[in-house]
Amino acid sequence: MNFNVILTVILNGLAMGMVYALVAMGIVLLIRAIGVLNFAQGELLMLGAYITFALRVDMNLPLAAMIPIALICFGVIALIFMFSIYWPLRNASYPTAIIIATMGASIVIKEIAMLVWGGLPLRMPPLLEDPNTGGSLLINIAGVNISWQLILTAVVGVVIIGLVFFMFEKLYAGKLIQAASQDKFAAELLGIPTIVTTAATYIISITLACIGGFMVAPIFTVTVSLGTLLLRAFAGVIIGGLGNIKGAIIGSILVGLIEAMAAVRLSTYKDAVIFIVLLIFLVVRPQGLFGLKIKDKA
Amino acid sequence: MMKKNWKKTFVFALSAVMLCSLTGCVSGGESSAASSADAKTDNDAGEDADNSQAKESSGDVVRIGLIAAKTGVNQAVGTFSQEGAQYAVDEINAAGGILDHQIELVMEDEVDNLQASVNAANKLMERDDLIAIVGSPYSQNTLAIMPQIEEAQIPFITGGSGDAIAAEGNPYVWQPRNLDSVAAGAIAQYAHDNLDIKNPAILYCTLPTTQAGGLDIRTAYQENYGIDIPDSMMFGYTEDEKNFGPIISQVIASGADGILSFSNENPHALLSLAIADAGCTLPRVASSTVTSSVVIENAGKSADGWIAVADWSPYLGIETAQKFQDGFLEKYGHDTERPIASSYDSIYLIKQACENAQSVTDLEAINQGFSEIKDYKGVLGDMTAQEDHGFLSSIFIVEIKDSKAVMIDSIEYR
Repeated sequence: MNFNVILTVILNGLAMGMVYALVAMGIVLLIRAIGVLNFAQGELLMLGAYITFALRVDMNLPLAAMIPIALICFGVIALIFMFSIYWPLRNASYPTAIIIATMGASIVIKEIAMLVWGGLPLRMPPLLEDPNTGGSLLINIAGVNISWQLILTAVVGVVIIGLVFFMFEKLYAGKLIQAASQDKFAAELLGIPTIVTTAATYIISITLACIGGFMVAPIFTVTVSLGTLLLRAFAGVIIGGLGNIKGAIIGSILVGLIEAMAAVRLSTYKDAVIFIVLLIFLVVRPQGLFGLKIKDKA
Repeated sequence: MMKKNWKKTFVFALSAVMLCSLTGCVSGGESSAASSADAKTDNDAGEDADNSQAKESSGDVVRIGLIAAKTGVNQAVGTFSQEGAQYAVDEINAAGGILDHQIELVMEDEVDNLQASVNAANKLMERDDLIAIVGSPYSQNTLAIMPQIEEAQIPFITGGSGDAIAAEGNPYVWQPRNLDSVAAGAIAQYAHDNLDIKNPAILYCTLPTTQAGGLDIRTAYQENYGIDIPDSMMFGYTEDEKNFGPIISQVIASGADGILSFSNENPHALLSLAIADAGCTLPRVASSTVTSSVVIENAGKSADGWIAVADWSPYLGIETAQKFQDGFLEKYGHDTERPIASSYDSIYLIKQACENAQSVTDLEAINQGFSEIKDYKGVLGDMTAQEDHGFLSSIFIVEIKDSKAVMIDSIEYR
């Protein structure tokens, strides 16, 4: 493998890993807050791509106006999602009811997107557009042409993840959310409104996925099949350790790098490689890279 | 208590809605089954011992079935098929119809999955008032119903180009498009002879038909030019692959002197973007899907430079094709696509077959009429029925320039 390929693979892997990390982080936040695995996270990434397409292309909004409006839209979608899927079933006696509801929600979201925007892929212009080709501006690094969109995807991913970490570690609001996720009853007793913390968790989680959709849309076009990226994010969550945010991020980056490397020599079996690695982790280290192994007491 | 009552009410309402929709389906089914049974009785009564497949013509109307996607991910392609067929039907009806019978199109939705397509085909084949069926544009959907077509003994014109369809030797299935093996051979021939590509990287989608196309390109290089393409130069990917960056990077690093591609529309669009993103300037030749509006609109200027073997382009510059393109554009407000041209020619082939058979009721005679089609000038090209139940003997070579696929050559292969 020569230097050009290595550089492309690393950058490509990092960029995609960041997208998977955004989705994975959202999944883990919801698991920690309410104990629910959200199977609609991929479709929410897709919805983020479509909404930003509508704002940027259909309505022709400049980026400065598009971003805040998009963030508001993501928040509204998160609240609708929470109150239609999670809230009615939060006290259901059947524990997997919410998980099944998220599966149904993923199908509904996909069908709504097809109804509104049709089944054909749509073209989202890159953030830095080359006026001659209409594609992404390229930067030449050590003789290798790299797309700016890939670089920006990686950078935005790092910044967003950093901001989320900062919020949870340093801000009072973040500590409230963590407290409520650890013990809802105790948090309520202390006067922490758990409905607000749950809503905030949903907003953060779904906004992360939607931002991921916005960043990959210029690379992958806007299409309903964007939801399939969820599988890689799940793999990242498992490899990193279920319930561990840091693990989800590192696991997802690892998945992105493995995917990019496998595509070079084993393009036909690339997906199989990712999931073989996942299976190996499940057998050898089921708690993941950063998860805790909890032994049963006799 | 109130919560339990609310839940009971909700469950009762949901059950009532489901029951009503189920009753509606059963009623619909019964009435169509009843009318089907009546039709069968009428047919039995009127049956001629010598013409077991003769149908009663419904006054001045003959019906042609059409399998296309009305809903789902493939809706756009289905709409194209329907538009092309309807355009032909309207033209033929305006000119007096088929043997003085007006044509009516009966469409069934194949959605975007194999099961729905099979169901749609079965629904059409259960009818007794169709003289022919224009099938799905997807080869695998046609392959799935080959036994049923032979059992129904109804002429079936498929939009699929898979070699496996021709290999089945079904006497009732006709293919107006060039076979994938022909396209693959033409890709290899043009790449080697005209572009001097001797060490190509072959990229292909791993769906059965496109994978076969990719492997056929390799076989063509081996058999015709004695060039063995190693496995390391073969790059397969799934239909929903999105990330082509690493693949293109490896193609560039491999020392390939050209890119040959056999795939569907969506991957071709993303491949074009990835090639442009990598700054790759290798010559590239692809299968016909690269000329579709999906690729050209989504890849933008990245699509320029592709050379493709094509059954159809709105910019072929041939008189018959141009007349069709201009008329269709005026009526429907958008350019023609391959599924439009394919279904248009399919309807006209049915007309030709009926005129050859001098019948709109005798299905066996109509099927025989297909085999008698000679030198018909379709929009896809000059058509003469062949032994493999195809009609074409040449394939266009187009180049995408300024987002238009213009013809630069053609290859006669038989």
